[in-house]
Amino acid sequence: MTRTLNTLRLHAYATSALLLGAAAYPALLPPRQDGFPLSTYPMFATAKPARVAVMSALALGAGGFEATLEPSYVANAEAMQALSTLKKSVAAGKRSARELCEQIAARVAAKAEPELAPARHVALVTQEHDAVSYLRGDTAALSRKVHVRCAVPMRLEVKR
Amino acid sequence: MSAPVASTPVASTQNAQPLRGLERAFLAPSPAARLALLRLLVGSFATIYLLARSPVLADFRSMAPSRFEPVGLAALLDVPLGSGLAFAIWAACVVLSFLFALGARFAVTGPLAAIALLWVTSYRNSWGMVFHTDNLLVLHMLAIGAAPAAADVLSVDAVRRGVASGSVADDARYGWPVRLVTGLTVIAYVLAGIAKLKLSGLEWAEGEVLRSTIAHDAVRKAAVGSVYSPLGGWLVRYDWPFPLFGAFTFVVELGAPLALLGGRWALAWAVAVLGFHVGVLATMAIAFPYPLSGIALASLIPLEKAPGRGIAFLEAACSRLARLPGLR
Repeated sequence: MTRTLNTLRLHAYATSALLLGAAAYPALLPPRQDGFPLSTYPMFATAKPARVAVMSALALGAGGFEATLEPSYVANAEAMQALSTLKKSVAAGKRSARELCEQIAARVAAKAEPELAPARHVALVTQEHDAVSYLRGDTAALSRKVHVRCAVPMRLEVKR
Repeated sequence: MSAPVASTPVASTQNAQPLRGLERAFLAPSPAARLALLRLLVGSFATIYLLARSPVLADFRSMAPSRFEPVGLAALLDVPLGSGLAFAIWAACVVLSFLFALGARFAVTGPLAAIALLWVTSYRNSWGMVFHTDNLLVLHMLAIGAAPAAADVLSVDAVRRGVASGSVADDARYGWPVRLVTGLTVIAYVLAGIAKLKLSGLEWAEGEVLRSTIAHDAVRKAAVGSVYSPLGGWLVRYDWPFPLFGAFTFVVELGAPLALLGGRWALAWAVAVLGFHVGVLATMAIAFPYPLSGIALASLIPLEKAPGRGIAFLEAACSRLARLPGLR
């Protein structure tokens, strides 16, 4: 019985010390040094500026056609993943930005969504907005910077 | 099932030195059904989550290899896996998580399911964006998966051994894994509070940081054509709600150790956490599915007090499942 109890104690203490110690360890790290599955949970911890610079991928066409491309054209269905992909691609330089632009343009052509039929180009842009004004309905950008622009490959057919 | 350890040896140390008090609390005997139900809930959640989130957990064909920034277990890789292999590991993880929930060959499937989930979620977080929705689920799976006693009752293994849940006495081995799960939950929330204190100080509770975060988040999502919360977009026009939200967030996060007191304290904290996540969902359209489901907080509740009919139903279901060819 004592031996079983000691085994139980050893198992319980070793497992708990390992997991609790690992989970608490990020408290000793700089708060922005995030990881997985051990995290400092830094999200929502710092103030954001009133002017928000947002990167996005736009579909552009003749006659002023312009549409924001959904995250699935950039990376996958997750908005944050798409934003991160845009940010890192542009930060990595022209070549990387162009590569991503061309991948997005190829997806626009492949998906052939009717609402994007007028699209002839894709542009990766950073636009600045006043956050509160934007949420009040004033969506006009305060500034816009085009990082890269690329052509949408010619489509063979458009979905109906 | 290994030989049960009677509660007496641990409980009989009452006259020993004060440090033993912690041991008595940590190794206090608990009902087998509580741990088993926790296994069932967490394993079922993992299975459903893996299936429901398959577009982002199983399919990486649209991710450029140059975006690969491995974290967690995926840090063992220099380059991404082939998409077929990544899918196969996800599929294996689904099966293992299901077996984890059922408590089938749990001594093997328990740890394997936890490690597989750690792999799948690590891989998912290795594309330039670390999400915070999977951390607690993975840690809870690791804790329960490391406790073979989690399948002593209400499991396929128990049916195979002919053990009914009512026939197993309370025991130390059923308590510590549940307390470990609670400890991991508490640490996660306290760390989130500490990060806010380190990065913004007590000023965070005044609400302006939260307000700017909600506005910033909504604009970024709207600008990439994604869903954002209209409620959050409307609320940021006003100052007054945010000091309340800020103070409440600090109470929930830094007050998490209150859950360790158990009883009504634990229940009150669990309700506050649920409210907090409902608030995050409503104002930022960010869902933390595991806490929102309530299952992340299930270790704080005496699950074994569920209606007897529910327990009987689960035992009957396990009996039927134990007859399936693959689980015999």
